[in-house]
Amino acid sequence: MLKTLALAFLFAAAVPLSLSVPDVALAASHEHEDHDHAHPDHSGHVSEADGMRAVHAWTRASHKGDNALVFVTLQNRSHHLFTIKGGHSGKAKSVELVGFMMKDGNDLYVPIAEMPIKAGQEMELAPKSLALRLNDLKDDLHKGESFEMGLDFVKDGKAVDIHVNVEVGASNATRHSHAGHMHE
Amino acid sequence: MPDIYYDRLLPLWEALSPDMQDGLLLLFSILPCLMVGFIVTRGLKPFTLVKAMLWQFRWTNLVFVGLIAVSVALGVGLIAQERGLRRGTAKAAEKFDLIIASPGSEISNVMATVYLQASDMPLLDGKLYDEIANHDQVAFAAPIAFGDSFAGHPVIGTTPEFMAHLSGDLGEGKAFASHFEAVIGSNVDLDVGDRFTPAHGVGDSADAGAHDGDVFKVVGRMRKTGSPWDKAILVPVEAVWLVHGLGTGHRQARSGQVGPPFDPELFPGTPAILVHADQLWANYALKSEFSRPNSMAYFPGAVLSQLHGLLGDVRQVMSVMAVITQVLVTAGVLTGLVILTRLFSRRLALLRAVGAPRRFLFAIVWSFAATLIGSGALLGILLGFATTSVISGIVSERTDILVEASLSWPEFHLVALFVSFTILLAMFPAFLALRRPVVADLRT
Amino acid sequence: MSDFALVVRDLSIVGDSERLLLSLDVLTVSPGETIGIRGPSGAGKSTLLFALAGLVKVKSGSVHWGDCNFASLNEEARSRFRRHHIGMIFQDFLLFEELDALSNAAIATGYIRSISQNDLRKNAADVLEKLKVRDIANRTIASFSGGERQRVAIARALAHDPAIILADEPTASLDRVAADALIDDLVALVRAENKTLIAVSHDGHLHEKMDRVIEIVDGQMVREVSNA
Repeated sequence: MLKTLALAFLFAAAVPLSLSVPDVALAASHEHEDHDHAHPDHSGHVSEADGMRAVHAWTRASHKGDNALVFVTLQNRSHHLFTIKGGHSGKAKSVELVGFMMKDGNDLYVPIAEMPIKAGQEMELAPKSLALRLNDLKDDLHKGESFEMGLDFVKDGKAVDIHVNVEVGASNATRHSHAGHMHE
Repeated sequence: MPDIYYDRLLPLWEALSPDMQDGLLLLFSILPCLMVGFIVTRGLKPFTLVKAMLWQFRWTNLVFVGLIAVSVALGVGLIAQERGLRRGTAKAAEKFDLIIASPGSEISNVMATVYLQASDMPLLDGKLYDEIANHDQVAFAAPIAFGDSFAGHPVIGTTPEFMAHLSGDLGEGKAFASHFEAVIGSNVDLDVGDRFTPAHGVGDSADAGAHDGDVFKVVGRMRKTGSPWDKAILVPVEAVWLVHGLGTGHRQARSGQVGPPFDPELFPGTPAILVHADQLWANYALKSEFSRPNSMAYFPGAVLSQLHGLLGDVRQVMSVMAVITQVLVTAGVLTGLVILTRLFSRRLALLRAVGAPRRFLFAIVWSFAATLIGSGALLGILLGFATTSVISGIVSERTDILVEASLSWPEFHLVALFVSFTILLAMFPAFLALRRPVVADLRT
Repeated sequence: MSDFALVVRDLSIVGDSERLLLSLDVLTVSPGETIGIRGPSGAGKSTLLFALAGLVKVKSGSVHWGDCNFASLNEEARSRFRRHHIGMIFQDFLLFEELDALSNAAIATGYIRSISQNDLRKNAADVLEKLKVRDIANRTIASFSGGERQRVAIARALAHDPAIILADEPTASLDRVAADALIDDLVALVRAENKTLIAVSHDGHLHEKMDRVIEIVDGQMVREVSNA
């Protein structure tokens, strides 16, 4: 029996959500085996340096002056600890690592100084979780475009800069579009 | 080419505090209405006659104001109610940083773990619990074992650490220190010192006799949390295992112990583990680390945010209906005004005959309409707030999720836009009033 | 008070389908003169009155007041002319029932800016005094008799101190006693203040008190009688 209006709302909301699955967990379970043997990816979806792979970087179409979140899957295939500190891009005034939290019922992304990624670990930067935030965009980002940005890592006390190609999806996208480069 | 918006306006705008931005938005929204009002009535004093006109058609006017108020209240209530639900549900989930459970639906899990809508779930084993509890970045990991109840109150097995995390200092009594002691939520109809035997299961299917002989004593009461946990009864997780004949999770020598560490070999299992880390970033690392084939780690906040997104979509659809209602009501009211203006046409013709400028007539009709719209909108805000308060009260009472009614900027922006728009439309009956033939109206 | 005469020349007014409503060769009204207009119903008396007020469209001819031919002015200018120089009185008073007598008499405070609000209200109160209804000036019109109502309407016509008063059947809604009392007070007032009064009426008692009476039949001025 539904006891309440509020829970009824939440339950009602749960049904279409579980059907449409725009879900962080499911996105997280998305495997990228297709890239296992590929080192330099000709399509620009995978970048790798020193065993750290950055796969499928994407963001949402946004306006000049706004902020945009960049999501990417990081796979540490080395035997070393990598720490991601942030990034850099000519598209924005600054780039910082941010984490999702909920404050007073509103979504909020707060800066996170660094994030260690252990050897063998995969870390997904995804909506409502971790992300790289492009602060104060210098230009509009249009759907279908792509641009390059650098991810700043530290490995064994040394800076490692990995460049990724960021695809711009729809302004309301909840995950990376794989259209055009499915490898089945 | 310099981009004036980006280079000049945007930095200025962003330098303002959010309240100032909202205040300015409100001002911009209401500005068309203020400007029209100023231009229309400048140098004139139509209010004596407007008052007379309002009084003459007072019952009709009351109906108009009522209609506008109800349509505005719909819009205001929807926004305020959605925000109240969003904040209330978020506040109830605030203490639940990261949950680890068996793979499955995150939403069902949030419902069961955070909102205590119990459902059957596979259990996590002692090895995994041990790994989580002993993880460098974990401050504490608390099993949350649900499934039993007493008189409709869920009985939850957990640890003293979680209880302290949830409620801080107790409102009354002391924390449970031995297996058959219990701490109750602020809304549980028991007193410190009372004794009870939980039923197996929850709701209509609960088996009241399953745990006969296992009597718990209430030793403390938590402070109000504004969450469904206010209706819960917290007991040591060892007790939940014991009444199900699963042991205590501790070796014989420590069988009286309450709380961790547990013995991984003897740990009977738990449907969910709340994980608390001292560092924010550690939550993301832990989520990543414990998202495995045999376990699921998720942020209740992120799940809630997605549900809120859908709640927002529902609100938007309903808002569109509310806006349509507002437009229809406004159209009806303005049509009514045109008819009222006809009833008033002899007086208006008289004013033309004695030399009142056309703008004076325009000002009278427009001010008349603006007064109806303005008072309808104000009444609508009050009505919307009152309705939201009542609904929030009912929701809070039924769910124990504290839903607070409040009015905030978005409602005022909506009402300001509505008022500005309709008050501009109110120029229409005013124009029509000017087009009427003076001599013919004088002679009617 | 102004010394301008009101001079109507070759005035022609047509109604629907070019039907002639009024045709007047010449009519001169001296400042301070009182004129009665009589004639059968539909003869064009009120049309003449409304033409003098600038409320009906004139086909040809002129209505001069000093140098100003206000028949040739646009609507807003004619409205301004009425606002400052004309006071109007109607058969059924056309008062605002919800307002008190003084507010009705001082209705022009809402839109006249050339006279201060206080002066206008004071004028209105003075006229009410002269018309013997000052003591009920703060009561709403709803409780007033016909005679009292028309006195308030006269106060409204005079409050902004116009030179010309135009009255359309001012006594038609009153009983004989009230009508006679009103005629006496109205005529005394306009004479005392040296205002021009033009009154359309069927009321013989009223015409007896006018300086001059003109008769209109079928849109033409057929006779002119001087009471002087």
